[in-house]
Amino acid sequence: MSKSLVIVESPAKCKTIEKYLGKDFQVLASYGHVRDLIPKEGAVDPDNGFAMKYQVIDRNQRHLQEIGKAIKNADTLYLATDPDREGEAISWHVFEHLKEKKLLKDKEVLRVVFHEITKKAVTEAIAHPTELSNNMVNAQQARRALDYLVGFNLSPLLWKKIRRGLSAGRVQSPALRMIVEREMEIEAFKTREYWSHSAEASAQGQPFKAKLTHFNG
Amino acid sequence: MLDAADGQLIVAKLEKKQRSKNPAPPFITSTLQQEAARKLGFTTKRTMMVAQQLYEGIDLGGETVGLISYMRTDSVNLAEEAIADIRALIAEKYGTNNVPKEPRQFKTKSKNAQEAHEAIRPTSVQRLPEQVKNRLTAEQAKLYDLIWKRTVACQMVHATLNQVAVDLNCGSDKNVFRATGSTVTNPGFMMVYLEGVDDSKEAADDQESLLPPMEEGRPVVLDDISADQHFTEPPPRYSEASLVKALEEHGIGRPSTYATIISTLQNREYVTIDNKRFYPTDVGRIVNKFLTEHFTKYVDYSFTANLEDDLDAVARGEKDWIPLMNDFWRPFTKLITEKDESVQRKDVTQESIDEKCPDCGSPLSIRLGRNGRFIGCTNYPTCSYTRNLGDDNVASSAEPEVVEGRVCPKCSSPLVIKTGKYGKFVGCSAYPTCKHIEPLEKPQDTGVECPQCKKGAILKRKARSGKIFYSCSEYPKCDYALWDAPIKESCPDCHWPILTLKTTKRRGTEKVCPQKDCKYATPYEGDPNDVNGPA
Repeated sequence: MSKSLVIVESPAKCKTIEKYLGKDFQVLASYGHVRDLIPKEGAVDPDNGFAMKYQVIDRNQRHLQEIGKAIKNADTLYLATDPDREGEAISWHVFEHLKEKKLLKDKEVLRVVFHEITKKAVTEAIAHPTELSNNMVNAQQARRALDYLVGFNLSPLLWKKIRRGLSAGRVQSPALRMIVEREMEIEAFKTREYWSHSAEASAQGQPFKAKLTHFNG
Repeated sequence: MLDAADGQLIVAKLEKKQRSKNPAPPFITSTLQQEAARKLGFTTKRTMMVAQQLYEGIDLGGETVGLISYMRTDSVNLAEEAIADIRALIAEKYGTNNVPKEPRQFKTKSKNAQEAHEAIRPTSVQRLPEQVKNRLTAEQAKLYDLIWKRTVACQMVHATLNQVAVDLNCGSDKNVFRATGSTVTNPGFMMVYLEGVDDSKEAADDQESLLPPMEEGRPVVLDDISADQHFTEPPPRYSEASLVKALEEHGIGRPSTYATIISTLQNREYVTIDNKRFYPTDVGRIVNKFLTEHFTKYVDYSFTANLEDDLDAVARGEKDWIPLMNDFWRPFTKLITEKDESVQRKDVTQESIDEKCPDCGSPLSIRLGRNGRFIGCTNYPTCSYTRNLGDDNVASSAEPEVVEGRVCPKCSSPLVIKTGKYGKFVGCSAYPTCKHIEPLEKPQDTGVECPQCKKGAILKRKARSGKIFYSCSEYPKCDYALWDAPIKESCPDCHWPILTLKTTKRRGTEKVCPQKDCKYATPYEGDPNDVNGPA
């Protein structure tokens, strides 16, 4: 019987899914992202097709090592990270890392997505695997690269012109703008007094209120 | 006008309308975050953490299973199988007349191919919140309950409301009063779940009010005309819920990023949260000013949203990512170089004001210091004049306000009102010799004896958050506490010495037994204001 290795993001799911799938499946967690851009200048090279330099995230080094060990005893690798673009990117990084280590020779690599952790959903997903989506991976890489380029170029300018240690972000800065604009609106607001008139009336002994809508109109 | 009316109003027009109200679509990430903030008081971060726990699996005794579907999604779609389950449950639990003929289909706003393809829903609606409660933490139970109700409600029949609007002439047909009434004739989905609103003004629309029967052309008794003073109010500061909503409306951020955006702004100390509302810090303001003035395009809402859309197009395979990167990078890097040369530091961190330095006569400016903004002399370091922003020119070392008619119970010195980290409080003027402090609003005695220790009295207190609660005067010796106002009446069912008053939208004011295991509740006949305890 062939052995399979399943990779999920969080360790909380490992046992549950292992139970659903039976003893031919080993389930390991990536513990979130496994690689990120090197935190230095030159991680993204705009003059070279935006080539990106990644490195393994320190705290997840040992989890990757464990995955590397386990893959040796398996014939099939199921990448079962979360069903969104972050999940797709994590799967791709695990795949790239194992490929670089030459651990995927003669192994089948498949992508599966669970939208819920139930026996039915998990077994069905494993029965209908797909492949990694290059498009989704590209989109996620582009997003990461844009964030890096904005952060790494704009933040030092803030240090120089305002104060050390500040940062700017592609999505964070427009959100900050909303909050500051609202505050300025509040500061510029002049409170005005106004009056409303209401009639206290009753019909068949039951009281009710009515608001004045027209006066001498 | 009151004279002209001669004690009566004439019914000029009476309009009756039937209106139906449809349930909100099932949860997606942003709506879940908003509702959990409104109804449960969760932060976006907490909501996502608890949702993740529910998704990843809960031990239900022998079987571990995920209770909800994946929580990062912007699709309101429901799987056909799930819809069938939900309809069956509604028929069984609420009756077949609450199941619409056709399943409700909701349209997903985003055309996003990147995220999960279903709304956030229970993996089985047959797992009722009250059944799984014992297996969950309090927070998990609350969030599961919210998701379960929203999901079930979204497949129930609409609510039917009867609305009445009456125009009443006063004296002549030039003075018109309008009264409106609304009653629910068939609650439909509203019996399970109603979406919350952020501002109380919107909520007024949904309130039930009954008008007495009236006829066109007939008079009604006019008892009085009253005038109420109001003040216009500025727009409210963003809460986590309303910020997520605004970000989503602008098309900025995606299900996986809303929570991160909020925590980044806080970690950078660009914003602070007070009373669940966002305030920009001084540094936040200056960074924003710099960016909006010099990098206008990059903090523009539609530019940011378009770029997100382009990235979504890459994910769908409709766009190539390298040209997209080039289009962004070339002008951006050019602008960085330009601004590095052209912008002076003092232009960014100083804001000139129309005032001369009282020491040397040079202009003053607002500057950014380590502890925020302050007013300083432009002739620094030759002149070292500074003062706090917001202080008046005149040195006003404000005398502390003395509490009249009372002295410190420990040392008999006068008491003063002080301002601390958590707001105003009463403290002894002999501080630091005497450290006596007490809350500004003295707890009030409700006159009800503590049913637990039978020694103390139940006092009405205000929590740090501003929320009112009731607790024993013997604290910390006795820890008896309640959220609702107690009354001196023992429970007829379990004979607990007190009852509490509670008002809910659905059931009105009731006398309720505070004991967990006792279900006693009966309508309260007294003054509805009694629920607020002693004034």
